[in-house]
Amino acid sequence: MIKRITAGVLAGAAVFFALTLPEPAAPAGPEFEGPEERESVASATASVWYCTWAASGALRDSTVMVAANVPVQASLTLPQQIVGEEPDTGEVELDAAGALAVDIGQIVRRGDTPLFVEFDDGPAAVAVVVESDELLTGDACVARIPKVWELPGGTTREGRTLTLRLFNPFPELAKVSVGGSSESGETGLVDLQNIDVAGRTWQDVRLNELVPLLDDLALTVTTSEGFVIPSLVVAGTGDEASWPGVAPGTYWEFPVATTSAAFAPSLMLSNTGATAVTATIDVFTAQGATPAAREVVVDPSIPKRVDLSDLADGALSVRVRSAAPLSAVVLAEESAVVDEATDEEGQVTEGDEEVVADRIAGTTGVAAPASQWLVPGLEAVSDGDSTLWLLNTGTEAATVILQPLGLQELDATKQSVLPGSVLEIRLGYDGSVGGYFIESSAPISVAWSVETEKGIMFVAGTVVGG
Amino acid sequence: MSPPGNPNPRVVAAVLAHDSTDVSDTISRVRAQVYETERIVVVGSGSTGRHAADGAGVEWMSTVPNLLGSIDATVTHLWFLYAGALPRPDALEALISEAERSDAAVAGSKLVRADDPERLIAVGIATDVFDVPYLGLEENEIDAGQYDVVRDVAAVAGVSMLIRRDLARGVGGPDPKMPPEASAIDLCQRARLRGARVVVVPSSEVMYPADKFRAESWREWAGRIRAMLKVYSLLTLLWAIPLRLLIGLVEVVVSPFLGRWALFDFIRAWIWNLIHLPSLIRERFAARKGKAFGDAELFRYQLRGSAVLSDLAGEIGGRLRSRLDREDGRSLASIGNDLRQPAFIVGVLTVVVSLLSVRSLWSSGWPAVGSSMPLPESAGQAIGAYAGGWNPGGFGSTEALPPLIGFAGAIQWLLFDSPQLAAWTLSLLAVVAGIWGTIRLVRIWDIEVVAGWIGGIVLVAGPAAQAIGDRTAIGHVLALGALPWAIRVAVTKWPSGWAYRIGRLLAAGWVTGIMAILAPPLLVVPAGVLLIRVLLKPNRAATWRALAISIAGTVLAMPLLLPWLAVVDLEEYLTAGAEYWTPELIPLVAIGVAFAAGLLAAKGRQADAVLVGGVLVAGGAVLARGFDLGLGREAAVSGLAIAALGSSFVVAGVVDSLRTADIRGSRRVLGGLGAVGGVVLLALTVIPLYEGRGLLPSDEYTEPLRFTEAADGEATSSRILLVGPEDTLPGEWRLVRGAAYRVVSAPLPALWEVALPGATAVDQALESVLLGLIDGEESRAGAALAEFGIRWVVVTGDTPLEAVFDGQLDLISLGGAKRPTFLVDSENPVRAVTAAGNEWGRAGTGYAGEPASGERVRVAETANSRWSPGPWSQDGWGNEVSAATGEVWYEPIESRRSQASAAAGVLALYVVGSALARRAGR
Repeated sequence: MIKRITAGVLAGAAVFFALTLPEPAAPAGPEFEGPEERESVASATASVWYCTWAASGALRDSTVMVAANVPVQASLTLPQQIVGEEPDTGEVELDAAGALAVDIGQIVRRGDTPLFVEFDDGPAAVAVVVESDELLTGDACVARIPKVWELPGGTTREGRTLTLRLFNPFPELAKVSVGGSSESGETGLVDLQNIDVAGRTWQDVRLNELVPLLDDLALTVTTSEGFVIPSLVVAGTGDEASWPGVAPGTYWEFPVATTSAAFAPSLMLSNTGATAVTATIDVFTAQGATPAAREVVVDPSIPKRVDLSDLADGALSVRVRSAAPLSAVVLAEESAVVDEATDEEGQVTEGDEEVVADRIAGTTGVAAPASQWLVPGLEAVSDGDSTLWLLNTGTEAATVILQPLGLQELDATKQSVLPGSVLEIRLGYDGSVGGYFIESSAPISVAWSVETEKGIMFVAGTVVGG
Repeated sequence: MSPPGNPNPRVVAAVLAHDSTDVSDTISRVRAQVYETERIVVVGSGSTGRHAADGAGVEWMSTVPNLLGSIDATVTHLWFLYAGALPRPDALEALISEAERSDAAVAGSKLVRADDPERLIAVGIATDVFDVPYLGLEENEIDAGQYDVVRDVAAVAGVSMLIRRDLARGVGGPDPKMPPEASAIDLCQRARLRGARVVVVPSSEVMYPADKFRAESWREWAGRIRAMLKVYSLLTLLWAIPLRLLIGLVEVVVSPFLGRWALFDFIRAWIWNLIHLPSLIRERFAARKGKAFGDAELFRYQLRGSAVLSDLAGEIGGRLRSRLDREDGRSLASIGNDLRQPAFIVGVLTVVVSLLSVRSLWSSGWPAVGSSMPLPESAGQAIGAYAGGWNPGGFGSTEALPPLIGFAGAIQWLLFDSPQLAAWTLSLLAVVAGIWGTIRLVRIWDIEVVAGWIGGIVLVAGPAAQAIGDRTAIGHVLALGALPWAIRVAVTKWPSGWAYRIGRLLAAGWVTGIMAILAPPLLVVPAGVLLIRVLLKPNRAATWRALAISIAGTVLAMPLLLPWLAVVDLEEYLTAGAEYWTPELIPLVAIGVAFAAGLLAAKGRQADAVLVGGVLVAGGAVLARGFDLGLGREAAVSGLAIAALGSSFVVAGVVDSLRTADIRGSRRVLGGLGAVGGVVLLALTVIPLYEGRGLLPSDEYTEPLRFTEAADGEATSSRILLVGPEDTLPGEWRLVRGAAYRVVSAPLPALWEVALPGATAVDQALESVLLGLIDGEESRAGAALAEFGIRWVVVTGDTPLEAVFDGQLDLISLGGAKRPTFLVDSENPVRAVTAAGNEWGRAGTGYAGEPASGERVRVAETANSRWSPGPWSQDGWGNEVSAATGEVWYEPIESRRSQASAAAGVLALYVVGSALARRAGR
């Protein structure tokens, strides 16, 4: 019996010991919640840039402006609108830091040609310029691919046509719903719910046909399956302005809101939140800053158009600050110059007026100033006067080195941007220059503009980071 | 063939001296025939036969072919007689006259017992389609003339067979490689294929010693298989061979419960046929050349169904009747007696439970879930991979595969290379062996069969066994079947003869070895259990001897684990992986109650069983929960196996204590309480047994991954990247920023891929791709994954990795798949591709494709210079080899191959040696 008790006690003790042994700690689990959201930032890695509004055909030409800080290979892929058709492709290479312009017409001429550019290294950035006899437009391409895009700044008022392009560069089908808000509040876009955008194709949505005569229209593009890259295009009688979707933010800088008094600047704000948001607008000119030049309240689902033409005479830059996220773009529209037809007696003939000047430009803002920028395309647009806009909203002067990028080594120049001011640098056209790398001693924001007789365009610079 | 109605048949009598039986009586009886023979010749048996022939004054010939060659054309018939056959004087005359009358080319006599001529031995032979004879007679059936009619039969006994000379020459006579009975059946079948009639002539009576007729042996088994393989068309063999195998397995399983041991005969019979395959092919060609009829003519005279199964059923029925027909058969007392000694019923129950518990594995093999995967398609490849070949886990490696792969491969090879059949057979044998082994093992504590059976069920399907199954540790599940035998072989009575003793040690070696092959950490468990027994009974020499035998068995078993044992890092092996047993409350309480009550109530040896069992359960629990002690998965699962064994002892001991009459009063109450605990544990086995998957969980991967088979091209030429929580991934996994993933072969990984080898450059490269995806730096994941041969990404559960595959330019989300799935939309997402872009398919662990002279093929496996054919070069983390031969393979590591061959040889030596020594000892 003693043996039994001893063995029993030993067994019991072992069981007790076993019961006291701790369980392994549960696996820590993933240290991330999903992929890092891609930003439209030129980082030191491979990257893909999506350029939605491009066309190369009988009437229009598009040029892809490529700039990089390192030797890169860039692959251009131009999907077809017909599902299943093989895309057209092109390859370019930069043996060293540089920039070049690729005429899409050299690859294919088939009208609309949204495309994407893949770099095997970085920092690198892309912009696209579209030209015709009547227009000049373009903007920086984007690298981010969120599920929800905000596209403020639209209008379907008389004299303007608004087109939403939904570009799906990915192989799988995307299901897209488009929501809209106008000065009347939410706009029912029932025809734009659950649109299928087949993989490696795009769709254009003519918004004037769906929601005509709206002065202000902000769109929200949501993908429930897959991804699309949207772009909004406002067309006047000739010229066009296009800009990609943006992510709402509480801080925006627009280094260029207008280039001269001939182009009336306006700031388009949109609030997709639940409560009204007050936005403070600071104005910057070459002479200095006007903090809080205007305060506006942006109601939910009612986009706000803020006319900036009375805030400064001539070129100006703006900064927008708000307590809650807003999405914003600026538009600069030429005051329509009407050429009135007259009869033999010199009397004006009713109804025969002809608009001879209606140039438009628009661009998205810069979410945060930075010290390094890539500006693909600057000085590369023929027949145009390129202007570089350097906005220093800080309190210290910024010393800026402007390094022209091309296919050969070019000499850099140095500039100083005073605090609270914008520096306008007119550059003209230089065929040997395809873009700029800009380095600043203090954070600045950068944009450039080109103005020709046929049109005007604003292009945001691309932050170098990561 | 001679024309019918030969007016003057001339006969040569051939007395076949198969063994040392005296031929003189047979010769005398032949000489006494009223129908005289031309010659009498003794055939075979070497010098013994020659001397016997000389003594009887007749000729002797060494073989039947020699005899056939010596007979001139005037002789019309041959009368084959076995030595010992005593034909009545008119036997030959009856054969001749009836054969002539019925135009039969083969005629056989009625056989009656030499010691009691009133009783029948055989009147013709019926066979089933597998050439197993069926006599259709009751035991000791009296000859009342009830079968006295000449009729066509499948075969006649070779004891007395008349055959036309020309036919005998045409078919080549009896097959010298076959034993007598099978030889006679074979000869008759070959004759029938050529259009000959085979009849039995009951008026021709031959007396024969009953004990020499139908001497069952493995040679007869082998002969029947050979006879079957010789005559049937390939189409018939296609279904007949698997069925024959299956029936053999049933016989193997059931026979022990009828007091026979058929396993080795079964194995020998098939191996013998494999060894004699060349002669079989020759004989088959000869037998089917010039045939006049097809298989249908043979089927006409055969039984439907299986004679083996009919015999087994008859025998089981007979035993049942013998029990129930007893005078006291219906009294409660006799039922009680039966329940105390119900070996037969328990046997039947064991078979039923075992078959039930693995029934779902029959069609699909082991389920694909956790660490359980189907066996590789090719047994040869599995054996080759184990024996120094390529380890295909992950991106492949030279790490040794566990011995289970080689062993299961060998079993699969024996079972016609069917992975499903091999898995089912192994699982079935494990359950049967586990239950049966426990019954036999607990006899050392005088525990009788019912309690032993309950203990056996608890061993193979109790809570601890279920925990092993839940962890999909297939090797340990199977090893539970061998564990009680590995202990029992050491504790049974030590024999007196040296030969017998050597046999016992060898048996300890191979039984322990088989267990360790299945689950290597269990190698030391039998000795450990016996050490506990020694500590309980230190004064008994038998316990010390059993321990010594077990230790010897452990040492002898070690070579069987080569080459795995030679290269494995044991510390890493025993500490890798996190495992922890959290038993359910009910079984925990039940085993606790059974142990405590048994300890207090049981007496004598039953109490010893409870004690040893309790200690084992406790020790097993410590191991199974010993993660904090540095123990890994293998050690933990081994702890569960020990706990399972211990709980079987506890349950058997406490249940059996109720049988003891001198346990009364409160002790009896306690014993009853303990038995309730045991019964609760027994009840808890019902559901896992009923599920029919051999304790393994249901399949999780086959269906979700099946879509890959419908894809363009060969699914097997690509890989699948699985991402999801750890417990949803098969086998082992890797982590990238805490998220689990692993790569498997399409369409479904096999068992040899469960373990992942140590990370190499290729794993680092894949991790780098995944990191790029997580960081949002990768936009063409498809192209990046295609480099690794990955064509699909399948999401097995919630994981942030799923989102990283969104928004890729060359990945397509497959909407119709059962799990979120992405398809690589890039060129050549295959494991082997030539420079010209030709995709090569997988062939075992190698690859095959269109030969391309002067071209190179890139093999997306971990770089290793043994990839052939050369010249080999490293391509990043992969390999490039010549595409000239159309094949790519991994040149095995010779030393490991030699070790594996040696291990197989040693195992065979142990098995054969133990059997021979046992026989010699007897």
